[in-house]
Amino acid sequence: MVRSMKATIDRIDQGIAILIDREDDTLQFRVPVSLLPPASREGDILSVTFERDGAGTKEAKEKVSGLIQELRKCS
Amino acid sequence: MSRTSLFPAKAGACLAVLLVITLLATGCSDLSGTRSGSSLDQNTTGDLRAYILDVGQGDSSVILFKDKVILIDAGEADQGDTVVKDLKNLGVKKIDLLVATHPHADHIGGMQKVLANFEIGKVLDSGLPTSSSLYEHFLETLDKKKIPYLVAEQGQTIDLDPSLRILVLSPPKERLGDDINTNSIVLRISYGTVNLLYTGDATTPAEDAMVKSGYPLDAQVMKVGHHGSSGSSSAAFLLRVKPEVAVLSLGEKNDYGHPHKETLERLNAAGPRLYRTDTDGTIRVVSDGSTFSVTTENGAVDFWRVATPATTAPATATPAPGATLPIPSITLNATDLASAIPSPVSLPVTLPPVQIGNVSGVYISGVRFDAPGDDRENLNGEWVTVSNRGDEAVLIAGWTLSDRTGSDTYVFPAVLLLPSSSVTVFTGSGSMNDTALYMGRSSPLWGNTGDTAVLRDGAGTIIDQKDGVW
Repeated sequence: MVRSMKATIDRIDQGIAILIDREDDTLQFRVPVSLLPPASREGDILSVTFERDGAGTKEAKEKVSGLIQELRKCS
Repeated sequence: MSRTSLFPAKAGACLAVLLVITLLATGCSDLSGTRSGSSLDQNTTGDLRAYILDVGQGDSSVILFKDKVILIDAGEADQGDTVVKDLKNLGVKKIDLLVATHPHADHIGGMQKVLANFEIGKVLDSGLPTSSSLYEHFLETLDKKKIPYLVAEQGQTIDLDPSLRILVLSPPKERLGDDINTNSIVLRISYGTVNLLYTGDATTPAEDAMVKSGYPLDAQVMKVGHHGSSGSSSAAFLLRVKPEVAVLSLGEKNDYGHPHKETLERLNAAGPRLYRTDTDGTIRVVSDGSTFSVTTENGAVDFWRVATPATTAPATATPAPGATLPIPSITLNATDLASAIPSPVSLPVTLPPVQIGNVSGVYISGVRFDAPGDDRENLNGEWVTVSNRGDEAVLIAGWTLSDRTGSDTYVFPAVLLLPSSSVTVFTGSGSMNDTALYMGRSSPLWGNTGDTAVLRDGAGTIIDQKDGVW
């Protein structure tokens, strides 16, 4: 399932971009500029997409479970 | 500091009532109408009350003058309620002038709440198109409510009250690129001899442009630009502003490292007393037009002084003959000087290279427009005093003094105004000396029912202006 939103880069200060949801002015979040597409600048409207990574989640869980198993064996 | 509202609201709970009493006792509230608990009370009254509100990381300033209200910025969206509550506790019902210095969320976020709660006289905006949805919604609300809308431009003055001068120092008509901070609105608000400077988030390129513009920048109280970011408050700008009090509006442990170390170093070098909303809370400045005091949220009056001694009589300071001048910062030869001066001035042709000096120190220190008795019989009863409170001598040759209409203009002869000296220009005739100049007119110049003396340099740039009603 993919959800997407539009946000404006309100400003960039000290390497942090303040993004504001175009639907809700009170919803803002801070993102390091290094994570934004190159050449992004103040005033740009960004399309932000959230996608659940099912395989990645499963893999990470399995890795942690494996570590727990390992640690329990050694104790 | 984090808080919900500076001023105590009416509360039923015992604890809240106790808090109200405590705050009243320390003189924090303006709701009581009078202040108490300070021996400096007599010095803290005045028609001008200016607040730099503690809105966390952001800006919001209120200026109350007699029955007029100015709000400059409204903080982040989540501070809108705080700003509204503070304004209501100050007794505000209508905002005569609402200023949006620039459309960043930490300055205009709270505007919707303000627009929903108060009648607005007019809005002064930077008018730089940006795609911000917050800004779009702000403009939509202004449009829907049919609120008069004005785009700021350097040199503009806004009339709210005859004794309050509001001058737009930035941005210039030709905008400074498309950077939003750089094109912030900068206002100089003057009452008598007290000047307050609100810089928004203006950056050093904007500061440089203001320094070059020739407009008066000196201000006893300065809201430091861009929350103390190193990209603002250049040494050259501070040298011109010469603030006695500088206020930083910022949030505790903010994400940007404000105030930056370099800015603090420059501010410390410039010497003003520093206040900051993250540690001092809301800061209040009260002025009667010639003195001012600063109070912090804890209620203590910890800064008070006479801004500039009001000139009530022609100045008598006489520069010492052959006084040593500071090292010239700009030199001009006689040819350049002559071309900078409008005709019909005739100058001694043998002028050596002279220093122009830092013109920001020159101002109109006193006026008397209404001569005692019949003006026509007492032309020298009308006068305007021009003083230099800077550190450098300033050549005011070719500068002009004119009235509100601009139709009557007096051109200064070759006068070098030394630091801490004054010269008084009388309307009638007399023999010129170090402290007195005569226009040689046969009729009065200044209007008795209120006029404005405007001082311009040789290029026609306004250096200072002073209203008078006497």
